[in-house]
Amino acid sequence: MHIFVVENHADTLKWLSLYLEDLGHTVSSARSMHDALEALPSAECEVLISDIGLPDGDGWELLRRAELPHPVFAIAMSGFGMNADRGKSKAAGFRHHLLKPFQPDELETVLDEAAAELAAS
Amino acid sequence: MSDPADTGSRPARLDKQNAIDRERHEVGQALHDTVCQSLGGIAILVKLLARRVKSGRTIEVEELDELACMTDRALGEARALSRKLLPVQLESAGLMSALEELATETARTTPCVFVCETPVFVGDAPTALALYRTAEEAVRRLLDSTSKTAITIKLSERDGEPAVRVIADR
Repeated sequence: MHIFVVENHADTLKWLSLYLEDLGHTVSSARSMHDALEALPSAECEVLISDIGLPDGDGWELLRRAELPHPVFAIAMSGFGMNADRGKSKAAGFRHHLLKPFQPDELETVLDEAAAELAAS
Repeated sequence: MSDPADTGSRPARLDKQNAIDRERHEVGQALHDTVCQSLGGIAILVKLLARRVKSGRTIEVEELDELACMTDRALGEARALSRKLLPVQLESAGLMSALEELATETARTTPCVFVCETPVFVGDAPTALALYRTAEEAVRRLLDSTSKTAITIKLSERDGEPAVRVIADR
């Protein structure tokens, strides 16, 4: 799958991208909401993984404002996992809300779901 | 006799509660922004390296060095948070070093010095912590005000009792 990752923490972005590539995915990325909004319209991604806390906005606003050429399977990452945070993610259109620090296996399970959905569509 | 916890005016109690809530929020935010981020990166890197080893591929020494570096950073972030939660160590000279550290930390954004002309040793840890929290709150209030130019944190002894003053040099 083509996955677009939005994460401002340099180490997390670097290793998450390498990990996803190791799983066989193609990865594009951005480190801020502004950069993501610029890149997403032409990124042709199928999955969006976005941190909720970004330096110039948040993942919820990003997903609402992103001009995506087609629907994506969106996954939120956040250090905050209160019901209100999860509710906001759901309302913004995220399919899952992963609580940081999450185990990579959790992400793999969610990506399997995304792959199954894409294959069925 | 009234319960000490019930003493103080309602505005004072609200002030204290607001300060506690603000502190909790800051610690939570700092945990999210530092330790959680670093641990997240470490978890992914470890998983990536494990996948490579399991499939018979090699891993680079530089990657292990980076893992060590990220772990050190996470430890440093955790220690910094621990110091914020429990700034005054139990030894009697702890208040002096904690106030000195508060001044150093404050000086990152606003000129701030710690003055202690004669060493003040506080053997009672709760008293030391209470004095530290009072100084910390006073510094925070001064930082929130717009007219300060520099801050002095002064520790002294009056009538055998430790006293902390936070002074704004305007």
